[in-house]
Amino acid sequence: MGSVYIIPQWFFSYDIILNLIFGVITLLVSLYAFKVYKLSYQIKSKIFGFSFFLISIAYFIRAIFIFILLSKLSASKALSLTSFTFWFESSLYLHIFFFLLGLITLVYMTIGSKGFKLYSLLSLLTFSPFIFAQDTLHLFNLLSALLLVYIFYYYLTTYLNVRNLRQFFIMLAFGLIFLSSIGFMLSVRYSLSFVVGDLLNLIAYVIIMINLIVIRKK
Amino acid sequence: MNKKRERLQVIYDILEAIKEKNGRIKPTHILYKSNLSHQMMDEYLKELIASDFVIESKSKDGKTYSLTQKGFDYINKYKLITDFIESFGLK
Repeated sequence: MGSVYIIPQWFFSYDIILNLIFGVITLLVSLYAFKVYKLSYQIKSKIFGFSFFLISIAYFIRAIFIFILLSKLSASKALSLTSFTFWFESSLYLHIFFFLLGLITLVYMTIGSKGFKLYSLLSLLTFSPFIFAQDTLHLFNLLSALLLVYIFYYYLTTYLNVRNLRQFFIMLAFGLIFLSSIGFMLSVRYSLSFVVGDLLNLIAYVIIMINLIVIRKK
Repeated sequence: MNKKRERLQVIYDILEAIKEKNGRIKPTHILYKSNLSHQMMDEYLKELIASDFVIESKSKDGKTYSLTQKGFDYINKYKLITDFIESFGLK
């Protein structure tokens, strides 16, 4: 397993709420993307919707598992180490799988290729290092940061080509999600960086949500 | 607007041309209204029929095209579709 996040104790319940908020926002974006696909048959909307759907599953899993873990801890003060490890590792591995698959899908969408070969290659390259990794969490944070910096670059170039306000905010949101991944990376040493990471994520997803509301209201 | 029309814009122009003719239009009118080559128009029409946006009817006067409910939905929600696609970099 290797390193673990150091999360301040007072932040646990906030972390559950924040992950639920991220899950709801990403789910709404994905449903909207599927709706756009149904209306326009624009394949990128479908892939984008699928990527956000996977990311929303990742957030819901994390929120639900942390909630279960905390409930078990408060119900029986002496939770067995085996039980704790089971809940902790299950949530972590499932979160890692769905979150990374969501990011891979998003990267695949930005490349604009229609072949399944590239998608399977990206998945293979991302997941195979976990077989040999001694520090799962550190590898996850590193891979997330790499995929996110690529996604941010894509949105930066898209914005520079068009230079409109809505694309600026989407570029900003992905920039903040990338920075939050750096925050999570540092949180194996500094507990407060986990809080900063979650707050950056919150700002990013609120920006995405506002963007979605503006589109709907037009 | 890009010099080269986007695919979604072309689809909108074709559907709008059909709508303007009260839902029944001949291919020559679509060609004139959509400003496409004959080959491109045929490809778009095939796609629109396959996607259930347009219905093709054949009579002794030749082929005519009309909109389905999906076609009308596309026209009504075109702005929403393009706004979403542009904002999230899905072009």
